[in-house]
Amino acid sequence: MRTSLNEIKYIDDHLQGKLAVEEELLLEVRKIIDHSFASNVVAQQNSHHLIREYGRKMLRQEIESIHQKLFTEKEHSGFRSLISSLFPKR
Amino acid sequence: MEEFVNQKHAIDVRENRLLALYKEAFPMVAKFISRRGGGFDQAKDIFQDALVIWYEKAACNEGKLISDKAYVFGIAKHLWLRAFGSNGFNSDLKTDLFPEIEDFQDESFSSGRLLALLEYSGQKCLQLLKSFYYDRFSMLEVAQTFGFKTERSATVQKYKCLEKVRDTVKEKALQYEDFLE
Repeated sequence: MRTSLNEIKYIDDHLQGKLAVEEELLLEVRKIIDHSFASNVVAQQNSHHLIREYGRKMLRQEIESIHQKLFTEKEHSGFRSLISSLFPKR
Repeated sequence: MEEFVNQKHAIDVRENRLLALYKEAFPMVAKFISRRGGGFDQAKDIFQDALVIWYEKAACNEGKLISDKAYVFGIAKHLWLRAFGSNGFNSDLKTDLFPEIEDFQDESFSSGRLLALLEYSGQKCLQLLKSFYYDRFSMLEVAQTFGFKTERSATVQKYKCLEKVRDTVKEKALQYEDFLE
């Protein structure tokens, strides 16, 4: 892998808690003396927040389509009746 | 074609699992919420949040939760009591039972526009990264799903994608001041 990808992997191992204690210490030291590296760590952490947000967004869409299926398809009519019996119209 | 089949298989497995759990656990959650004066839409929202939390937990634990139904119900109950419990907080509520709720509700990271940009410019990379980091696929599954011949080439692509996302984050962070804390 090219050098920049090795750095990505190194930071990723840190973020996933896969580095050994000594490696963690070295990483912390490097963050202090190398500002560019430190900003890469922050940006990579934020990238993971974005991936999680994207994952949740896609999952929510899948869940909503399952909901639509359950509340429209004929084969799930028993399930629908059960749920509507729990919420009587006021 | 093979890529399409593999991706479809993974999605089908997840959909079947979610659908089964929806049918199994939603009536219990709906009953609980209805008895406390909640409506259908509230039950739906709470339940779907609980499903997301369950999925994240189950993905991390490779599906080894004792009972998926009981777990989803427990989460939904906590979410309901937290949102609508008496005085806004219920003394029976032990949040330390479900620390993942804290994590789920910590949405301080403001990234809507950036995510939209990435979805527009790098959908395939996001899908690959999601399957590894969010869905917790193994690298072998990622390779099969996205049509790579070896795990090694899928791994290299994973880091290339992460670099691409990271570069976009760095580039746009200055423009979106609210992006960085």
